[in-house]
Amino acid sequence: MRKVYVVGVGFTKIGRFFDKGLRELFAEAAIKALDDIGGENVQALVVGNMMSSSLGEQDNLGAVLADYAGLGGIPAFKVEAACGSGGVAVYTGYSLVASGLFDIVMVGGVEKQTEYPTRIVSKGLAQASDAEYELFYGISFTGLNALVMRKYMETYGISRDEMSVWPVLMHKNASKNPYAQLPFEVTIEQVSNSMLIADPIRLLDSSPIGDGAAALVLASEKYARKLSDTPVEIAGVGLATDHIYIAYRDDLLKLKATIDASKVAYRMAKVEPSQIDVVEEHDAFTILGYMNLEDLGFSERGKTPKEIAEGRFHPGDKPTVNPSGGLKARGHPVGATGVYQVAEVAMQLRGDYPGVKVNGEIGLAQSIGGLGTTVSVIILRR
Amino acid sequence: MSMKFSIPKTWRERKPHYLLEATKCKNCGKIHYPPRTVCDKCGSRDLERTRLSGEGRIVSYTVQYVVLDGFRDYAPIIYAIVELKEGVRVLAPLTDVKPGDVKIGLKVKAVLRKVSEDGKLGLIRYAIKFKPLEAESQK
Repeated sequence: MRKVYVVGVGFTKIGRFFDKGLRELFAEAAIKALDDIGGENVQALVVGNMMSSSLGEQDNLGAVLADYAGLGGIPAFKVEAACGSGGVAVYTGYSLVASGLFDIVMVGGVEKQTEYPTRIVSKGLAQASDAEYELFYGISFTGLNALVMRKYMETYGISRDEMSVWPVLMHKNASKNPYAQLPFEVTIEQVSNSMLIADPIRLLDSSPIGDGAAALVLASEKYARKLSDTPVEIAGVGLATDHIYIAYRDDLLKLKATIDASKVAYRMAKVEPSQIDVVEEHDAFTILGYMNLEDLGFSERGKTPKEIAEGRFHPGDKPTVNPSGGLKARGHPVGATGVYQVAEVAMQLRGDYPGVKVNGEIGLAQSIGGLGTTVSVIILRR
Repeated sequence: MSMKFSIPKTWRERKPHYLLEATKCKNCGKIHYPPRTVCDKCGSRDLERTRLSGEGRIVSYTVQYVVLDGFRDYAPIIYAIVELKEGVRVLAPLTDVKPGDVKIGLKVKAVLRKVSEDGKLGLIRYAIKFKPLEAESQK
């Protein structure tokens, strides 16, 4: 397999954009990424997106976005793995370049959620679960995560206030992020007393609903130096899946797909968790923020909330986790999120990230579809 | 008449939803709920249908206040993962219980209840939910 590099990045601010649809949002990110490589032509487009079909009534998304981003005619298609679509799009784009099929590929991600009220968007998001045996009963995605959060708190004896340190850290990081959806700080008291959505998950445990788009340009070794002075190598990729029906899993307190995907990615990149400088992980809810760090091998089971309260994983520590503010506060434009994460880590390593900066050489991005049903782990090296 | 609910789909899934019908692997004995075509433990395709007891204990639960479209009349809804006597886990709503009376480890049994309806004239979906066993049976 050939080496693959991130040579261009671009993304939009995350928020409610009533004046922009899927096409306009994506074009904005794609143009930034193309400008980042000096306007060179890309040969193919892979787009991560979850709900263009269910909410946007738009299938055939690859062709539509290529056309409206000025890339009409090239091979283009959408990949879908619920909230993990972005990470799987990067995985797919990587494969297209590593295989030798193409030398320069754009990987995009876009999501347009703010067209409808929350109860309709929540239904779209809940389609990440088992349609016949979970969604059938009306359980939301928040409800499924709440089942895991309660089990975690009960098993490890963790109080509500102890759980609340995650959103506090994420909002603090996001307060310095110019493209974050929620760039303001919150307190433990505000988190612990925010509205109950699905007990024990509260509003401030949850990532917000927002619109956004991100794009990367990936290139083979031959083109990487031509297109960028600071190419960042994709040193390892891993992708794994698990039972969609969460009750079928032996252990609710770990996401087996994260463990499996990260093992493959670490082995491929020939690195250990202790060597990672910066992590962007998929904290759709507070509980996932903690479990992801445990599944990725950065902390011990049930001890992460306490460690974060003591300063572990904050800016300046190794690894620094979610300097962007994470899904919690940077925002979670679902199918675009995994692409944002890789763009962010690449920018950290090349030194032009606009928010909380991490000085490092190796970074990791983890993207989850469903409640750990599809997980991708991507390791980047300067 | 509204046709938001698929009639073939509702018919096809009736036995797992109404009777807790699962599959059991004739090779390794693993029980699967929902039913499967291939055993995920040993790979065997030789499976038979079996009915689960419906009795078990709560592994975890949530009280969902923000409910999806079509479930407003039932809010808040308590959802639980229940581990049945057979060791199989099932996710379903709880019924006939108040949020404050639910805890991990509570003994429950499956009962048939209405889940949702497709408007006034459309299909009604029924399926098992769990209700607590009487106080004296909780030990």
